[in-house]
Amino acid sequence: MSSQPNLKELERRAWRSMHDDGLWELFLGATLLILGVSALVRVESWAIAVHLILSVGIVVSMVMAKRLITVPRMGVVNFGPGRREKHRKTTALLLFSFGLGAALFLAIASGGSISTWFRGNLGLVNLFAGVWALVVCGGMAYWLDHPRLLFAGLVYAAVFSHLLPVGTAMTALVGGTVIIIPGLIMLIRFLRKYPLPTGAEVHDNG
Amino acid sequence: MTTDEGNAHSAAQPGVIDRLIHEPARLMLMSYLYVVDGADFLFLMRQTGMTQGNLSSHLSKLEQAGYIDVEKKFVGKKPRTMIRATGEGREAFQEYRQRMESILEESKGE
Repeated sequence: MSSQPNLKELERRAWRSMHDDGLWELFLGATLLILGVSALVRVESWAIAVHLILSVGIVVSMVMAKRLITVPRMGVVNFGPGRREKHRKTTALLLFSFGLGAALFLAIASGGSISTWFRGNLGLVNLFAGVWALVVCGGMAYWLDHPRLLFAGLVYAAVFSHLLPVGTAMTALVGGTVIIIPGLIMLIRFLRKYPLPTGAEVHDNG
Repeated sequence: MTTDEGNAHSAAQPGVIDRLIHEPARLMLMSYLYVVDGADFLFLMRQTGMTQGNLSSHLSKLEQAGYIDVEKKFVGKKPRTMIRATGEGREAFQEYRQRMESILEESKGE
C-alpha cells in the first residue's frame, strides 16, 4: 500500500468498479437485438408496438439490474460533482438521441415529402445513422470513463451503415449478440468476484 | 493514552505527521472518502478489501477524531451506514499529504 496514493487514479478505480458488471454492454446489445426482432415482424404497426414494448422493458430491466445486482454487491457511493455532471451529459445525449430517432421514425412513417426524401437517400441516411451511433457511444465511453463502449459504438456504426451484406434484421441480431457476449462474460465474472454479502456484513456494520 | 489517541492531537501541531491518518488502512480509507462525496460501509469494504471488524475499528478511530461523519439510516427495511469525510477530516488529509510531500522532497535533496 503506497503512502501517497494517486487520488485521481483511486477515484477512477472506484468509479470503474461500479461499472464492471457488464450491464451497459448488455443494455446496448439488447437494444440492437430488439431492433433486429422488430425488423423480423412483417406488419409495420406490430413491429412498432413490439419495438416500443421491448425498449421500455429493457430500460426498466437496466434500472432494476443496477439496483438488484450491482448495489447489493458493491454498496452505495456518491461521486463528486465532476462525475455527476458527466453522468447528466450522458443522460442528455441518450435522451436526445432517442428523441431524434423517434422524430425521424415518425417523419418517415407519416409519409409526405420528408419520407420521400429519406427513402430516396437511404445510403446517406444509413451513413449518418452509423456516424451518429459512433458519436453517441464515443460520448458515453468518454463521459462514463468506460472505453469498452467504443466497441459497441463500432458495432452499432457497422449495423446502421449496412456495412455487412446481409438483411437489417440479421445484421442487428448478429451485432447485438456480438455486444452481449462480452457483457455476459463480465456479468458472470462480476457475480463471482462480488458475491452477495452475508447478513452480518450488511446489518452489523459500523 | 494509545499512540492513535495521541495522534489526533498531534495533527494540530505544525510540522508533525498525523499518525492517525498515517496508518496504511486509515490512509486508504481517508483517500477514498476524500475523492468521493460519501460511501456506505459495504462500498468501503469492497474497495479496501478490509474485513468487517477491521473496517469498523478504523472507522471508529476516524470518527472519534472528528475526521468522518457516520450516519446510520434505514432505506426501506435495510440498514445503511453512510460515511463522509468532514471538513476537518478533509483539511487534515490535505495537510498530511502536503507534509508527506515536503518530507519526500527533502529526502530527495539529501
